[in-house]
Amino acid sequence: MTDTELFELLKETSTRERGFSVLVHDFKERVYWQIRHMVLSHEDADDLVQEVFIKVFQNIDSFKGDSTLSTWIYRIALNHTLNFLSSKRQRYRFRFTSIEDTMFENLKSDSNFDSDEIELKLQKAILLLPDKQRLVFNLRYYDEMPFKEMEQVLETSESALKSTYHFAAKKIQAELLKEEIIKFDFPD
Amino acid sequence: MMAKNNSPFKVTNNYFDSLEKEILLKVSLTPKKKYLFPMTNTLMKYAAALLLLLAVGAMLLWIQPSDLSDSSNQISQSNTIDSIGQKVETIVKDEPIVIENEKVNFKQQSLKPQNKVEEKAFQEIELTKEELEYLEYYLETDVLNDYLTYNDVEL
Repeated sequence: MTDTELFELLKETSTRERGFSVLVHDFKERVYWQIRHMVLSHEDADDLVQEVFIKVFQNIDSFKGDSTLSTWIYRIALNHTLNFLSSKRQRYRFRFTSIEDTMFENLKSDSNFDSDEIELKLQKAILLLPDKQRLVFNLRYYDEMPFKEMEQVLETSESALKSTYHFAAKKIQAELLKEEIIKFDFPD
Repeated sequence: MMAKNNSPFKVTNNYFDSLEKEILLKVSLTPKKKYLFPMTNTLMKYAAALLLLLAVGAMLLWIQPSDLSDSSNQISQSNTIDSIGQKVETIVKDEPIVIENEKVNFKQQSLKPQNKVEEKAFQEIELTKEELEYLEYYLETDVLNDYLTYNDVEL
């Protein structure tokens, strides 16, 4: 089903429930992975993805069709995730450990993470990036989102996104070199 | 099940099916946001701004009269003090005349031949000019003190 057909189903009150079932079915995985790559923990991602779809359902009337439905949903998901991370960071302000250290320690013991040494070091390097840079890197590297689509979702110019991604990749490369991992190729 | 690009993150096999069910269940229990009509938000903003303006206006009106009453209180207080001052001045000015009159009466009385004992007594307390002035001084201050005490004047 195309975005337009789905939008038509969601607009009509009589077909809204069915439309929403289709929407959840089509988008749940992608939304989950986008969130998971940012928060790392499966439990947090599970809670957040549910909250995102409830938000989508509650605000479906405010969607005017100016952008594609997928863009609108990803935007809600990523904003919700960034807000979650920012409030979590606030809670960590007066602790001795940083939120990144805690996330990394939890990741090491996570049964839902295939922890080989290189992947762990890569995650550690990614965690050093600021949230928004990390978001751009994850969307490109893990979710393989085209910069054109990313431009719509993040409402940032394509050139700015490209430079953000390359700058992030360079930083990660430098961190991995410090860990004596010589070669790690990132796609353009 | 794993994410794209050999992501190290994974979930259990049937996770997404159960997630879908969970989401649909939660959504069915969640009340949907009601949008009355498109202008509602704009109207509410205008109403809020109007209320704010009214509140500010009311506050200003409430503050100004009290300020005026404060200043009028101050004016009336200063008027009272002035009037007291004037009264005190007149009392102080008038009093020597009274005292003078009393002195004359006193002298006249003392000159009257009433009885010898009294005459003797008056003769005995006959005062010099300096003593009289001294007593006048005290009389004046006493009058002033009495006035201030019984009229509750705050200086």
